[in-house]
Amino acid sequence: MIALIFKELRQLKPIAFLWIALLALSIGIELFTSRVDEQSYELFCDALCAPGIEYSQAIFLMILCLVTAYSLYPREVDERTIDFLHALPIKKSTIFYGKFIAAFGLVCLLLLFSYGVLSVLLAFNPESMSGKRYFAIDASLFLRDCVFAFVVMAHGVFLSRFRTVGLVIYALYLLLVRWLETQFDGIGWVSVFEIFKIDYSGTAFSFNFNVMAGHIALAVVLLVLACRMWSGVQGKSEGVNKNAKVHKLLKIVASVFGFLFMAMILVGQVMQNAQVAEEKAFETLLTDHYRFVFLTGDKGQAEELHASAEEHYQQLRVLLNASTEPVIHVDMTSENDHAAGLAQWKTIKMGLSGGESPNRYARVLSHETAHVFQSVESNRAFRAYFNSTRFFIEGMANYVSFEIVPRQDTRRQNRDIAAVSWQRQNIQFEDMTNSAAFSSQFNAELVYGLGEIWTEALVDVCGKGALGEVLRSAGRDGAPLGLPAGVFWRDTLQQFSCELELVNAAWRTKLSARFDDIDQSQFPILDNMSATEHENGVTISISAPLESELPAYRYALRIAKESKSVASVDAIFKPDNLIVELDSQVLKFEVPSELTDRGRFRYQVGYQIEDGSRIYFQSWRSGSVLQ
Amino acid sequence: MALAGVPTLVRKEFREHGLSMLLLGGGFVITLLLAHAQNQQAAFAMSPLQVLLLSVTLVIPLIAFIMGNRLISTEYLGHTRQFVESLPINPLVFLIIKYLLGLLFVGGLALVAIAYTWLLSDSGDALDRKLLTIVLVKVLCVVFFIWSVVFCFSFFGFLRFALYVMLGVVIVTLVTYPGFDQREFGPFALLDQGVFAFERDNMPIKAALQTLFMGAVFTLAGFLLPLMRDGSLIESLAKPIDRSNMVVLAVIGVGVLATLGSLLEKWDVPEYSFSSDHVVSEVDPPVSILYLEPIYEEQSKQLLESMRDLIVPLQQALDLKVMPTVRVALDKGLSETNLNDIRFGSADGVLVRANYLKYDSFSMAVLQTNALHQLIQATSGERRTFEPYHWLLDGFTRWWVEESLAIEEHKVELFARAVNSVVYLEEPIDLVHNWQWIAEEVSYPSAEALAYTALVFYEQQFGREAVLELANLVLAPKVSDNVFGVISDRRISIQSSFRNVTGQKIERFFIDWQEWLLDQQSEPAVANLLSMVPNVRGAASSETSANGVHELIGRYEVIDSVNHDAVAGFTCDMQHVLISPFDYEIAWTSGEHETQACDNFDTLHSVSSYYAAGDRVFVAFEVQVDAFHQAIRVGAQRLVVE
Repeated sequence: MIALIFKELRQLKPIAFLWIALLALSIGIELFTSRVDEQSYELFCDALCAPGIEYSQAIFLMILCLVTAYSLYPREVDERTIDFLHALPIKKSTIFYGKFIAAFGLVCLLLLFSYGVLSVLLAFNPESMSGKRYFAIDASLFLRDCVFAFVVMAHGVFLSRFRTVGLVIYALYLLLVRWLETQFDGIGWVSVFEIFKIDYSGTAFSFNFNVMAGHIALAVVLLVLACRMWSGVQGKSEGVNKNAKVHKLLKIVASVFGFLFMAMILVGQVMQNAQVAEEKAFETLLTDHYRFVFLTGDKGQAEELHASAEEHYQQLRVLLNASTEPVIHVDMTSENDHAAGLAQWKTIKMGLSGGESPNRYARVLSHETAHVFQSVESNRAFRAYFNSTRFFIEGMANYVSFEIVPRQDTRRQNRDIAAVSWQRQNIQFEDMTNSAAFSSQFNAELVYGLGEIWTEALVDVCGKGALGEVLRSAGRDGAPLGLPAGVFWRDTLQQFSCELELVNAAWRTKLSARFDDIDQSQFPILDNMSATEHENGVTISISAPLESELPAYRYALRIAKESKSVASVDAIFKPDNLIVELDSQVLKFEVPSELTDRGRFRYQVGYQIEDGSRIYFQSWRSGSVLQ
Repeated sequence: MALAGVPTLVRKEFREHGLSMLLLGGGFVITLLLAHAQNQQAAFAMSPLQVLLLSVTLVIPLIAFIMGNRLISTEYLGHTRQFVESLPINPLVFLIIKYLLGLLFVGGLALVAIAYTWLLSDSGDALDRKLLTIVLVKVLCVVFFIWSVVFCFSFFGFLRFALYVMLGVVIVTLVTYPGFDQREFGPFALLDQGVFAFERDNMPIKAALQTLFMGAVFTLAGFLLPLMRDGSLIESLAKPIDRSNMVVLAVIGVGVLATLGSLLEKWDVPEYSFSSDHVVSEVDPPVSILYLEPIYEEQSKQLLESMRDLIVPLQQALDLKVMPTVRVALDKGLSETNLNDIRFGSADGVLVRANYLKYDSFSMAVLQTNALHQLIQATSGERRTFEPYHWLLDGFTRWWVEESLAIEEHKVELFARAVNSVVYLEEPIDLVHNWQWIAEEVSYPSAEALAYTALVFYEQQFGREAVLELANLVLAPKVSDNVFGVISDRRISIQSSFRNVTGQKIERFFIDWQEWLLDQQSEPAVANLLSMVPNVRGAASSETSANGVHELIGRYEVIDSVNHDAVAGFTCDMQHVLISPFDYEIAWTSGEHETQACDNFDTLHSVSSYYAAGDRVFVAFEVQVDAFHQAIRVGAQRLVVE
C-alpha cells in the first residue's frame, strides 16, 4: 500500500508542479506590485477569509481536485497500465483506496504548503496589531479546505468513470444548485460550496458541521461506488471486444436520445414562447428618438406617454447640452418587481400595466432616458466607475426627471428621507462614492435622494451646464482610468473649473437646512428589538416596542438576503400584527427562519412616512435569535 | 491526390471525437437552458442576449479548450500524428481539417446560442435584424479569436498550461491596468458588458478587425509550428518539461511580473488644483488654501503664510526634491471643536479638510501637523505610517510645528497629556514596536503627544541637528511599491539609524525618556493640568435581557475622586464599531459615537439591538476635559457580543 501511494504521488507530480507554479505566480504578483511587509490579515482576508463564500477560491480548488481525481484512473485505463496494477497480488479495493489516499494526501500537502507560504509572507509584517498572526484561523481554513477537497475528489473519482459526461453532469449540478438557491430559501446546503462558507463567532472560526457531515457521508458512499465501478474495469483493447462495441453503441444511442430530448425542450420552449407572444399582442409607436414596444392592452398609457415623450427628450437634451441624440428602444411589455424602470446603453425597460398615473410613467421614462444619456455622453465612463458614481447616476436622473416632469410631493418625500438619514446616520460624501460599502451600511435607495440634492448643489455652484459637463469630462479622450473615487470626482470636476469642495459644502448646507425644517416626530426611531423563534419552528418573530402614535402598518423590516449591495432584492416585511402588552404597544414581524443564517441576520427597520413614499430605513444592524 | 484522403480523415475525426462533441454540445445546451431560466428570474435582467455574453466569455472558451485538447494535444502528445503523417496526404490538409472542425464546432455552438436567444426573445426585446447582425459579428469574431488561440497553444504540449496561465495574467493585467482603455480595443470592446446586448446602431468595425487580425496571427502561428523543421519542433514541445525549460519559464515569469510592477509604479495620478475663485496659493512651496467665501480670505491668507513658513525650511531640512501641492480646504461640515474631525488623504497629493475658522493656536498647530504628516507620507510613497516609523513621523511633525510656534501653553498641554498616558499605560512604552496598540489604548492625540515629548527629550540629549539627521535618514527617503522597495527600506532598521546618529540604543533612550517624562509631573503647569484629568476607567459589557433585547452597555469606574473645581463639566463619549476577527487600526471617524454629559461618571451608555451574538465590537471611551483641546481616552477594548 505504501509503495502504491508513493508510486501514485510520483505520477501526480505534474499537478503538484502546476499548483506550485500558480502559487509562485500569485506570490510574484504580490511581491512586484505591493509592499509585502504591509500586508495584514485584514487586507489579505478582505475576500479570502471574509464571512460568506469566496466562489473564485472554491472553484479554483474544485478544478484542481477534479483534475487530480480524473488523473487517477482514466489514463491508466487508456494506457492499459491498469491491467498490470490489477495483476499485482493486492486487492483491487486496496489499489483504489491507495490511489485516492495518495491524491487526497497530495492536495492536503499542497494546501498546507500554500498556507505555510502565505503565513511566511504575512510574517514579514512586523507591526504589533496589523502583523498579528491567527494560527487557529489558518488551521481552521486548512481543515475546511481539506474537507472540501475530500468531498470534491470523491465526486471526481466517481464521475471520472463517465469521463467527459461526468464533467458535464457535475457542471450541470453546480448550475442547478445555483439556480435553486435563487428560487428557494434554505436550499443552500445541497450545494457543495456550503462547505466552503466562512463564518466567525468573535475570533473563532465557525464550522457548519451539519453540512460538512452530510457531504462527507455522501462522498464516502460515492467513493465506495466508485471503487466497485473502477475495480471491474480493464484496459482498452484494440482487438474486437463485443462488450466494448455494445457499450459504445449504447453510449451513442443514449447521447443521441439525450440530444434529441434537449432539442425537444429547446423547441418546446421556443414554441411556448411563440404561443405566449401570439396571446400577448404587441404594438409599436415611434417618435424621432424613441421606439416604444408595448402590449395592446396598455395602448392608452403608451399613447399618453408617446404624446409627451419627444418634448421631454428634447428638454433633457437641452438640460445636458448633449452632443448626441441616441435613438432609444423602450420595452414596455413587462413589469419588474424591483424597479420602476431599467436602462442600459440605448435600451429602456419599464412596465405600463401597474395602474400608475401618466405623470409617473412620464417621469420614469425621463429618469431612464437620463441614464441613457449618461452612458452615451460619458462614453460608458460612468459605468466603468459605477461604484464611485452610482449616487450621481441615480441622483442626476432623479433631478432632471423632476425638473422635466414635476412631482413635488414625491420629491419632497425623497429629500426629507435623505436629510434625516444624512443627519442621523452621519453620512459623508466619501460614503456615497463607495456604492458597495454604502449599501452594506445604509439604505441603498438613499442614493436617489442624497444624489438628487448633491446634483442640485452641483447646479447651484457650477451652473446648469455642469450636468452635461460632468458626463463629457468623465468620458473625454485621455481621461485616466482606475482612479480612486475622490480623485475621480476632483479630476472630473476640475476639467470645467468646478470645485468639488464647494459642491459638497453646498450639499451639506442644503441637507442641514432641510433637516431643520422637518418634523422629526414623523421619523420614528425603533429600538430595543428582539428576535425569538416561533413555536412553529418555521418563522421567527422580531419585536419592537412602539413609542409613537404613528400608524403601525407603515413600519417595515428589511432582512438582508443574498445581496446587500442591491437592497431592493432583499426581503421586506410589514408588521404581522400589533400587540398591546401592559399598556405599551409592541410591533411584531414574522419572517421565515431560512432568512437567518444559524440564528443570525442583518436587518434594517424603517417607516414609510406617507402612503406611497419610499421607506425611511435606519442603518443596517445585526440581530440574533433567542433560542 | 492531396484531397483524396480528406473524407477519410474527416470520418476518422468524427469517429474519434464525435461522441465527445455530442456530449459537449448537449452540456452547452443545458447550460444555456439553465442560464436563460436564471436570467428570466434575475432582478435586473434586461435582455436574453446577456446570457449569450456569458456563454461566449465562459462556456465556449472551456469547450474550445477541451476540443483543442482532444483534436490536437492528445494527438501530438500521444504520437499518433506520426501514423497519420505517414499517409500520402499533405500535412497542411491534416491541420486544416482539425482547425476547421474545431472552428465549426465552437462556431456552431455559438450560432445555436444566438438562434435560441433570438427565438426565445419576445417583441419587447426587439432583436431585429440589425441588432442580430451586430451581435453575430461580435460573437463570431470572438469565437474565431478564441479558437485560434486554443489551436495555437495546443501544439505546445505540456507548455500550453503555462501559456494559458500567462494569457490569463496578461488579460487580468490589461483589464486592471489604468493606462489601458478596454472599451476600444479588440475582443474587450466586442465583449463590453455595457453595450454587447444593447448597441443597435453602430457596427464595431475597428474592434472586429483588430480581433480578426489577432486571431489570424494565432492561426498562422498554429499552422506554422507543426510545419517548422518538418515537425521536429512539435516533437520537442511534446516532451515533458525538463528543468531547463522550467528555468526559462521562471525567468520569463519574473520578467513579466517585473514589467507589470514597473508599469504600475510609473502610472501617475494626475495632480489636482482647487477650481475656485476663493483660493489663496503659493507656487514655491506649492500650497493652496480653499476658503469658500470672501469673508474667510484674510484668515486663510494667514494660514497660508504659516504653512509656507513651516514647509520651506522643512523642504530644505529633509532635502525634499519633489514637493506635492499641500492643499487645505475649509469644510464647514466638520466639527469646529473636535480636532479628531480633521480629514485627510493623499491619493492625489496632500489634501486636508478642516473647519478651522474658530481654531486657536493649539488647534491650528494640530491642523498644520496633519498637513506636514500627509506631506511626508506623500513624499515617502505612503510608507511612514508603517509602525516602526509612525512614532517618528507624528513626533517629528508636531515637534517641527511647535518649535516654530514656541508657545509654552502648547508644550504644557502636550506634556500633561503625555504624562497622563505614561501613567495610564503602566507598562514600559516601546514606540517602535507597539505604536499601534499604544495609539489604541491612549488615542492618537495622546500617542502623538508621547512621540512629541520623545523628540523634545531627544533634542535635549543630542541636539537639534541630531533630530534633523534622524528625520533625514528615516522619514525622507521614498520607498517603491514593491519588494525591492521593502528590501531597500528595511535594510537599515530604525534602531540602527538611531544608533548611528546618537551612538545610543533606542531601547535605552526610551527608558530614559519615560523616566524624564514622569519627572515632568512635578512641573507646576503640568501638574495643574493633570489634576483636572479624572481618574476613571470605561468598560463595556454585552448583555441580553430576558426578552431577547441585546444591549451594549458602557460604564465608568472612578478610581480616585474627581476634581470638579476647575472644570465646567465633563462630556463622555463611547465609540463602537463592528470589526472583523482580525485586528487593525480603527480611526475615530469609524463607527458610531454615543455622547453625553457625565459629571459624576454614573453615566451609562446603552446601545440597543445593534449587534448580534458572535459579533466582534471595538469600544472606546473618551472624556472631554475643558482644559484639554482633545478628549482623554479612558478605556478601549475589543469584545465579542455574547
